[in-house]
Amino acid sequence: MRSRRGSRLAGLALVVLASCLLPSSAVRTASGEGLAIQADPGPPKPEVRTEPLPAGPRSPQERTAVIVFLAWMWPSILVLIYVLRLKVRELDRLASFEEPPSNRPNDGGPAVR
Amino acid sequence: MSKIAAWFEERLGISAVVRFGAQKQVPLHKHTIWSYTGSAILVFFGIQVATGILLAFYYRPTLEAANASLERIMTEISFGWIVRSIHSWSATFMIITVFVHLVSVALTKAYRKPRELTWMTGALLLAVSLFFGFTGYLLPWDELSLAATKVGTDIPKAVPVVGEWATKFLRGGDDVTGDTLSRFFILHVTVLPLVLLLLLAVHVYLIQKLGMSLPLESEIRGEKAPGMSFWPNFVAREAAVWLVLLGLLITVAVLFAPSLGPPADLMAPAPEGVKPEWYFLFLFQTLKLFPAKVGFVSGETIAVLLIGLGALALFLLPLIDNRPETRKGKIVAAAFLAFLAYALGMSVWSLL
Repeated sequence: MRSRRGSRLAGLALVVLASCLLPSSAVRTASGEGLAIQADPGPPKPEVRTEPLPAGPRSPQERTAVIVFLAWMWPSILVLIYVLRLKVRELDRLASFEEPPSNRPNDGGPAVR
Repeated sequence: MSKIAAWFEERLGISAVVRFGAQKQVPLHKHTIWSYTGSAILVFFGIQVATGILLAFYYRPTLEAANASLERIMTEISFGWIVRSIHSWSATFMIITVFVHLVSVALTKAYRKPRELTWMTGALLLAVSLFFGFTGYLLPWDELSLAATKVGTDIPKAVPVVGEWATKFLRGGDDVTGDTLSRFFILHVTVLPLVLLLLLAVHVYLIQKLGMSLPLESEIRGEKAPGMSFWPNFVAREAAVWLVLLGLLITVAVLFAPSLGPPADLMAPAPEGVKPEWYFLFLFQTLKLFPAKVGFVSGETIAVLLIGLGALALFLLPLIDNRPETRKGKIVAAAFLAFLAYALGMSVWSLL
């Protein structure tokens, strides 16, 4: 008698358990949640650029910096060349005192007599 | 300060190098101006190394990231577009200077005995510089660079026996893929710089050992040209040239910064108007001139073999023109000038 009641209770428990689990799995399957890991498309792909990307300053500040640099660079180069020219003349003058006449440079230095 | 200088002098012996520079004489004659091209090449190479290192901080040599990383350099990194532009223009300036240097040496016949090896190492340096340009062209991984590299790496196929292997070796497979990109990157940033430095060391050593040449007519007449000390007299003059070239390079790089093409698509057909870099244009046009078949042989094979023979003749020029003061020397000089005119004409034709 006890064993029949026990088996009924066990059957009931199984039915309750199944009724609890089945709808939830049915809902998950229906919504595709169970397959979500495989079907996840991930973050949206960035659009592929089809036109050439022009190169240039990224901002007005960068543009100004570049123009200012160019405007500073050329006068600086001219000043440096002027200083180098003076240096070259001085070096050639010194060299003309040190070297025999056959080796004297003929550009920039004093005339060889 | 003098104590610090003395400490370094005791260990490095720099004064010996300075003394060597002061004793080294640069001959003064009507062709001396061409001597400035040698150091200008070194300046451009130094700029290439410096800007190349800066670009390598951000560049990623993979199929997916190469073009995007360059786009990032140009749009997100501060002054990245200038660094890339200077790198690109410096390559052009360097190759122009290498050509000018080579032509000046050839026309003044400075390759004559005993400077044959100096010429040969110089010719190899030209080849390495061109290969630098070729490998660097693919790195942006845009439509044009992919198509041009496909055409360029297809050319060795025409060479009998080793052609197929050479193409496969360059591409890292049967076709231009991501493997080609990584292969070209490694060649561009490690192998070629090492080869170039090695050749450069030998070239500079030979120049120091043999000295600078005199004009042929002075040598025949047994004249001794006046000279000036390399250090500091000649270097001070060279510094002025470097400054002007640097200014020109930066100005051109800012005003004419190269754009970046759309990312390459391996499945897409080649875009129209595919052309290599300007220094390969005459070879490109020469290849187009040949018919598909000449008798039983492919026209491309004949063209590639002729170009190879031309390159070999250029390399062996000092051995071919071993008596430059005679009639033979004049014929060689005329042939060289004819080749220059041909290369220039073909390049212009290719651009039209």
